[in-house]
Amino acid sequence: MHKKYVIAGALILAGFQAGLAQAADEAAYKAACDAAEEARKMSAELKYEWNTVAPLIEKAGAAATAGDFGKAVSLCDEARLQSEAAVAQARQQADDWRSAVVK
Amino acid sequence: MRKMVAAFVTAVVCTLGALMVPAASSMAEEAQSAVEQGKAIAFDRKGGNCLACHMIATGDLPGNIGPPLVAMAQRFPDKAKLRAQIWDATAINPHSAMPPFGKNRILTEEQIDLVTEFIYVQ
Amino acid sequence: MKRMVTVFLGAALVAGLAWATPEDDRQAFVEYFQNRFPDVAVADYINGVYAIDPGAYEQWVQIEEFAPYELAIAEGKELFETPFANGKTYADCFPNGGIGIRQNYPYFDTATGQVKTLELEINECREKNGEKPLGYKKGPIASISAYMAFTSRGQVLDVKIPDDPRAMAAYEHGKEFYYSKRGQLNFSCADCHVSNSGMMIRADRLSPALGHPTHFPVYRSKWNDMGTLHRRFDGCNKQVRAVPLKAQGEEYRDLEYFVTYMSNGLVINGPGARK
Repeated sequence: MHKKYVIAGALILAGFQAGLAQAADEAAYKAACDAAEEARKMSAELKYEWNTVAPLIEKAGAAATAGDFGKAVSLCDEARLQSEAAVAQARQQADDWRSAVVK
Repeated sequence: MRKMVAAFVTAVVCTLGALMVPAASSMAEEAQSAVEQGKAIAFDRKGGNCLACHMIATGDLPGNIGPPLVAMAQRFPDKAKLRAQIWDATAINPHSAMPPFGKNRILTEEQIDLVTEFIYVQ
Repeated sequence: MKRMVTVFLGAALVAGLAWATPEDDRQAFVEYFQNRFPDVAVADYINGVYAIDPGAYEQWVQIEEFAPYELAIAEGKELFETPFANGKTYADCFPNGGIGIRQNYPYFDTATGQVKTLELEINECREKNGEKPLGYKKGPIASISAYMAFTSRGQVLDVKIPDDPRAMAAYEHGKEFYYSKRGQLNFSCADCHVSNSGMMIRADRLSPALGHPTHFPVYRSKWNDMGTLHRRFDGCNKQVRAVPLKAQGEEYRDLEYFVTYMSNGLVINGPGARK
């Protein structure tokens, strides 16, 4: 899974640094959005999915359809980071909730 | 491995930021002070929505879940601490009801900078 | 390593402190609200936010005089009494013919090992009699539930947790949900309805958790419609920017089990009218 991020990151970085931001290719989009979807599923399995994530992935799909792969990649990156934060939240709450109980 | 990923993410974010900031800021926006921009974000229900919980001067119908945002420069002589509180209030108090605006990516880093500027002068 | 530490701590907790019993939890919960709102009688918490907001209380009393849920009660009664295609009725599925039993829900069913809510059993009754299940959040099921609550007004909530580790696990699961922060905005149920109950979120006062389940289903002005407790769970979860879980899924049923147990001893006054 981390390999994917690295590949995605490398592709995106290469794209931007070559000054090809708008033309980041379809492969980069696929990699970014697959990673986002994987992270979203992980948060959903923990029953901790945020409702902000699916709309980002949806928008990314629309951007890709319109040929704007750069935008699609940044939307999916955001979706992935939010899902990772949701997973972190789930893990943190598994430890933290007990001390919030009214005693 | 994780570090590598983090480095890449950071690089991507920086590259993105460098590319996007000049594009997004028109001349008119540049004229508007950071405080004004921060206020707009702070008062926006889909942005910071600070008024949901905090009294802020000039804000209508504030909530009172959090403390009134007054005398902020005295309460937070170190502006970075104020920013950190906005970024993730649960770092200090895990049971804080304040949404972690940065940690949970509710606002962007740039938006948090602007909101900090606005709140700091309250 | 972290997991090992967690397991170790968990084991230490079990061995050393033992879990609080549900009854300990409930008493602490009631005391919390008594301390928070010393002028409010415990019995009045069935009125939700109106118990702690005298200004809104007057308006609410007027609304209740021409109760917007009356239609739902009438519709629910008719649905309740209309026989299924096979000639049986809902009354055949429930103790006491389904009249005056709301206060015993949810309960832990030792046969299936799960929490049974009233709405779940309404649908189980339908399916057992060859009818299609109803949607769980609004519509006919809310009306039937409203009627059944109405026939139970004045009965004392009496949710039981049998001596069965699975029942205790369901209760703990619901409690964990209640106190866990969720969604992008990072709010737990308790953040709003316990620790900040009575406070204003913008122009709305946060209602106290105690008494929440006594008046469901509710006619909510915001919905212009009736809704079940799980519809409200769904809405709360969306408000904190979480993807809501399935109505009548295990999480929400366990949550209802915990939340309702906290209100044991209060009387049923559903259906209710809420803002």
